Amino acid sequence: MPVSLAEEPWGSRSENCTAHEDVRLLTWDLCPVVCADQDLKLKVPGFRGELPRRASYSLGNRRVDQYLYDFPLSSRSANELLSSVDEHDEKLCGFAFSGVPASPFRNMSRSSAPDAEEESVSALLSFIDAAIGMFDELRISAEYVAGRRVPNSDDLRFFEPDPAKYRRGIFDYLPLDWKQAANLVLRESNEPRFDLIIRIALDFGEEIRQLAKNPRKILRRERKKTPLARVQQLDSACLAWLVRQPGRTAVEKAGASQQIYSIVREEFYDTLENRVFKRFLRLCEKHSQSYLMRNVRYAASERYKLVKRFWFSCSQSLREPVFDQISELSEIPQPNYVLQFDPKYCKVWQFYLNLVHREKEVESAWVWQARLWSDIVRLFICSALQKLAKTEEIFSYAHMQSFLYIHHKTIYGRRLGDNGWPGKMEFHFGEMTRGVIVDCFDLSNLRECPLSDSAKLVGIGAGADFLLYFSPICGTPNQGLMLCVWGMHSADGDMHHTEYSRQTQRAAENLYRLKEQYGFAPHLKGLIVRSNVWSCSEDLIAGAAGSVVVEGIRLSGNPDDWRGDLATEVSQFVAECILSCTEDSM
Amino acid sequence: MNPFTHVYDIRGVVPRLAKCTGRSEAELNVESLDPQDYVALCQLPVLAVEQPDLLRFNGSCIQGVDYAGRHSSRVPIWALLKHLNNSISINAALSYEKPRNENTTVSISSIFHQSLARLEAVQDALLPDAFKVYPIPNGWAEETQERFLRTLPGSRDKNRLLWTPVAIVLSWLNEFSFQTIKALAGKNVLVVDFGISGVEATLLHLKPDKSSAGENYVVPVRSLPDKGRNHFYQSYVPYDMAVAHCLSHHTGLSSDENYAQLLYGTGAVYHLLRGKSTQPVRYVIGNPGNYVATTITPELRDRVMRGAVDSDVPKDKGITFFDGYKSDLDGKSIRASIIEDLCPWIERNSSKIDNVVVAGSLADMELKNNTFSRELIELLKTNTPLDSRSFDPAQLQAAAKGAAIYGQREQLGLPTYYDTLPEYKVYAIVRKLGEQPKSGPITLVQGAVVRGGQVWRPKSPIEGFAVRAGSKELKITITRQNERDENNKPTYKSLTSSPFPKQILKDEPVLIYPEMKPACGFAKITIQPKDVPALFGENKAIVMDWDKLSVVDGPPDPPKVFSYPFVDATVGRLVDTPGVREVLDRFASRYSRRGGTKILTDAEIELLERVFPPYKTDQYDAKEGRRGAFSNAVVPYDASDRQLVDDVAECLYQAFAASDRRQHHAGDPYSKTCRLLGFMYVETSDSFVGDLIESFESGITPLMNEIIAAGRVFTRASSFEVFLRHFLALPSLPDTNLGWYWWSFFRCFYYYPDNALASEELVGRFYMKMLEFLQIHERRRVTQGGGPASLSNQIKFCLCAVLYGLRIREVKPDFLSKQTTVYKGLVSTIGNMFVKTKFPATMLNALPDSKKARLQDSSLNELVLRFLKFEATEDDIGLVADFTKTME
Repeated sequence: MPVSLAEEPWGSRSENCTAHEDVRLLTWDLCPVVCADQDLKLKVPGFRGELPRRASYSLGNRRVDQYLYDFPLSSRSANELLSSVDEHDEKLCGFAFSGVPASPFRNMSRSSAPDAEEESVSALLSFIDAAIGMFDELRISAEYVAGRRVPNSDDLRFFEPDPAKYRRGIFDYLPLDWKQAANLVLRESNEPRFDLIIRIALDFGEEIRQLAKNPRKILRRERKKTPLARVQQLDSACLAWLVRQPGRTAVEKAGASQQIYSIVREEFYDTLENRVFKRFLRLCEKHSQSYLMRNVRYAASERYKLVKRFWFSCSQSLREPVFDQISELSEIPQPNYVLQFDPKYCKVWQFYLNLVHREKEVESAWVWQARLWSDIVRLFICSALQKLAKTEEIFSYAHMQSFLYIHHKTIYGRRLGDNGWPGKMEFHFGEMTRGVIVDCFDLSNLRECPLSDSAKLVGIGAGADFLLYFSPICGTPNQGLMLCVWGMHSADGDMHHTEYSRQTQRAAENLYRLKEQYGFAPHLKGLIVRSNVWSCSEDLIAGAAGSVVVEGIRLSGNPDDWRGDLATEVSQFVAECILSCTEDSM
Repeated sequence: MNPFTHVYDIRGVVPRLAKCTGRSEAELNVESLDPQDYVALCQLPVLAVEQPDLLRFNGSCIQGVDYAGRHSSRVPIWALLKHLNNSISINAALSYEKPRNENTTVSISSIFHQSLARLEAVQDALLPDAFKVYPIPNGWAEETQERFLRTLPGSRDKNRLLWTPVAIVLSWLNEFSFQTIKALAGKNVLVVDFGISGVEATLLHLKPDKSSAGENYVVPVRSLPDKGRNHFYQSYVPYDMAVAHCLSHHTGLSSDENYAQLLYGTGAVYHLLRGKSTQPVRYVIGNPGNYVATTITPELRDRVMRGAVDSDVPKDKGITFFDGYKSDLDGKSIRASIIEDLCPWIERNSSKIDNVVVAGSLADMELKNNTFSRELIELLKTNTPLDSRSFDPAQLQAAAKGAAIYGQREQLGLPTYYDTLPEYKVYAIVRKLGEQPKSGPITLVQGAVVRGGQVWRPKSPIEGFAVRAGSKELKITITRQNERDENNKPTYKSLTSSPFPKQILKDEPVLIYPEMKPACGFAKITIQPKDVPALFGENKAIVMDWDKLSVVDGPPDPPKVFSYPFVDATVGRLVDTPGVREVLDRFASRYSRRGGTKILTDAEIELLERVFPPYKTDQYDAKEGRRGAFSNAVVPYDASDRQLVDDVAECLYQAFAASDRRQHHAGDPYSKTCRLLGFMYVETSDSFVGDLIESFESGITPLMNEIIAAGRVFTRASSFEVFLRHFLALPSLPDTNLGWYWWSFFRCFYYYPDNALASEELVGRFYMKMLEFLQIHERRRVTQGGGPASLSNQIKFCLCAVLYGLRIREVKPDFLSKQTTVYKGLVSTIGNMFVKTKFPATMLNALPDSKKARLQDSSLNELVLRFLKFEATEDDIGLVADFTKTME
């Protein structure tokens, strides 16, 4: 069998998974990676497209002995892996996962899940929602910088709109200067993060209340029995009924109840636009609640209070009697004229679509949450490096621009473009006689990187998410240090602590093996950044093999902790790398 | 009309953009747009969205990041322009590596196109449909212009090229008051354009001009670049390279590796040259693991930029990126080029120079306290004998601003500049039907001085060319005034037309319509049919395709030997002889007015006989020949003449129809009218031709005048074949006088080239019968000693029939080939005739006496044999040409 499930970190192949039959694997990490002997187009039923490769593997004549593919976190208990050759799919093997929390979106029998799993699903959802909220905030900032008008843009006041510098129009990826991104991501604030729900609350909060009190209604003409004195209009059907009644006069025909059929006009609220509005209110209520739960620690902040007011307003609105008459929306409808052109309902429709998009984003990210975490690790490490680096203007020929590129939606769980890396950063600490330049490289773009082939092969072999290369200025090539960074995502608590330690050791051994195999002379280090949706950050036991050391840190899944913990941990680690690099060369 | 103009001055180190926003020249407002750094470096198209692409250019690669965050590759624009200028094929491909090892290629034109399209996407959003002007070097020949124009996005009508020195002068003149400008009229200005990789000096004359509203202007006049007189170009080490070299020296980064790295992509140098930062900038150079860093202060930047003028880069240094261009790069420093090459040139031409304007992207470079132009002027002043007052720095971005002024003026119809077109000459390699091949050149495009932006066209189309039967395209050979080889001799090039849309059955004359616009690539050469409008099907015209240009050794040689005679059409006297028209007019008006019988009266016949037949004077007009009233080719009469000719034909036909054929005798009206109608040649009545055809088809023995008329009026192969079939059906009687048949046969070929399309088989059979006739009479002549007097005439007509029947070879070159029985029979019979036939007097009359004497011993038999045997010479052609000037 040419494929197997790779063991974390992705450089070392699991010995248990090379069987020729279907394999069942107990996994507590949420980032399965498939390892193949050759370059394949792999597919999994139920997912569009091919599985994303973790690296670019064409390096001229130099061969790498494994190809790594990210595997989606499926709600199915068993998966098939197909190889696509000339548009014909061929089953390679089957995979069965256990220990993976069931998807909250597709698994309808989730109610029977154990409480612990229920809790972990809820925590993971919260993590994904927060991460997407953060990337949305970056995207909004990028759009604002590119000249898009953003209402209530007080929160973006520290960005300089510069439309002349950017292409106009809507593009998949928009650039944002890494310095600005770092400021946004790492800034210390008493306010919780900006989120879609805040935008809705700011833009539409007041109008929602008014609209809920007086939703759009239509007057329907109906035939109803009406007391004679109140009859205003009769139509032919009413007259035909009246004629058939016994009696000579209208009073006699009205009978004992003294009522006859007449045309009456009744208010009707169960229109499409009101159904959308009701659904929108429910979504707002849900998102507000989620936001409030996530940001309890900012209970005193303005944003928290705003969302709380908004949540209350939505809840109150939904209790209005008129909403009892409005039925629920079962699916996303085609917008009618009112939803498209009525000023208020048009806004409702747009925000409704935004919320639906957000839900879809979360659903899509669930499947690829390991890649989402790797994006977060990259964002925060690069931001931390930006903060630490010298602020002087640096011009370098290779990266003339220092932008991150952010997509408007997740692509296989990732929002950041592969090529958006900070430019060269120069570090100069304390009494260091010369600085250190740090370059960041993505594995998918290694082919164009000005790294040596041995460095590229080690990077690819290690299956790292990205590489940092520390070069002392005016140093020799061997004085450099390459740092392989893995982002690992899991949903468990502390139960596998010892396994984490084994991981760092395995990674160190693997790196050492690669270093020896490809003759990589400079220093080599590794860093495993593991998510922890439950507990606070902590250091893991480092692994060492020969001269290679792999350190591990566990970071909280709460985004609010990232700006503190992640940045601090990374800063310390980077500083150590820089110092070790320069000490050696002194 | 939208008078907005965009200028893309892509020649600069940091290319300039300018836009013109005034709606009239009075409010002309030229403003510069800040170009992005991506303008300086052509950004390659990123073909794959998700994966980066990488350019490999001569073994090395450069990269950057484009807007969408993808890696992309960049090439300095000047390198590509150099590529264009050096006439390397525009489609010279660069290897373009795609993900997964799929290799594809991208052309230079594609790179340009993409880069400019990106620019336009920004600019067009501001001013849609603006006029776009691209300043180009003065030395660009049409090939380069053409290549460049094809790379430009958008419609060709909107894209204009403008000579950079002209643009600089327009911008320079724009700074002065009109009084000052007026004083400059008649002066010569030398524009010295210091570019990134070479200096170009151009001498322009200033000339007063007036707008249509009568406003006075002074505009430059550009002559064709001539290295000795008015144009100088010298390449030097590209300034960005020199800066890089100098920078590495100043900062101690002088190792080859770092130097090469600094050049890698030249982004660092461009950043440095932009010179916007007043703060120190830290430059990091090298690869991971091997970095050097340096901080460049504004002072150091100044020093480096000045020092780069003196810096010469050894050719063997690591300019890996430009390996392919090493031969193009001059290792000379800028200072050395100026002092050793430019200044001596200026000195040699100093008597012609009144003012010197210094401009260009190098001159625009901003130093700490000044622009570079001041320093360059100092350098020129100290090394040339010119008066120091003559030197003038142009304003910043002079070329861009001048181009904007040009665009504005052209849209407003105001004077811009004058340009000199290069002269094109064309050599016919396919002759016109019925004419001798033209070996000498004909002027296709005159080296005229025309207003900039205006199209030059000749007053009349160029004649003398034909498309050949069976050919698929037209080929001509041209030379261009501005294209010479190393020995300063014209370069001959073969130019081919676009393919003919339909098959060409026979040689057809065509007209050539050239038109040329200054700085707009090659002249546009359109070919239109002369006589047959539908020659090229629905297209009506074809154009010469400049993509199919190939070098040939020399002009086409006219053929040395000929196999058939050429016949010029003879123009009738109606159009140029006073009195002829009046006679015809009088006849037509009297004939239509008179009542009674329609038969021609003797007076009418006598009247027409005065003008219809060719001159009957004793004095032979050697120059013009003997001409009748009408032509044997279609003459474009004006409307009244056309009406008159038609009326006369109609009157004569009425008279012919009214005459009684049965009473025929030599002087009867039927015969005489028939003769007159015959003398109308191609203008005769169609009904008369129809009657003749009917007569020949019916088998009735035709009258002599009918046979003769057939020789004059059977203009088409179909009618001529009727005549042939009739002849072939005649009883083969040895004593039959067939003299007029021979006469008409050769006259049909003589007058009308279309008869060359007649059936080869019928003509062959005709010759067989003629051969039989000749052999019978030859035997008689030998055995009986001579023959009747009419026989010698008959034999003369037979020889003429053989001679002119060979015109079929125009269409079918292998007609009467040497293997055929007819050929052998004719050669044997004509060659062995007992009595040789003398030349007709008309053949000899025009010859000088010396030639006549030489021909005394020769005979018509020999002449005919030479044509028949494919051995005729140019002299023989001349003899026949004189003969064919008669219209009898």
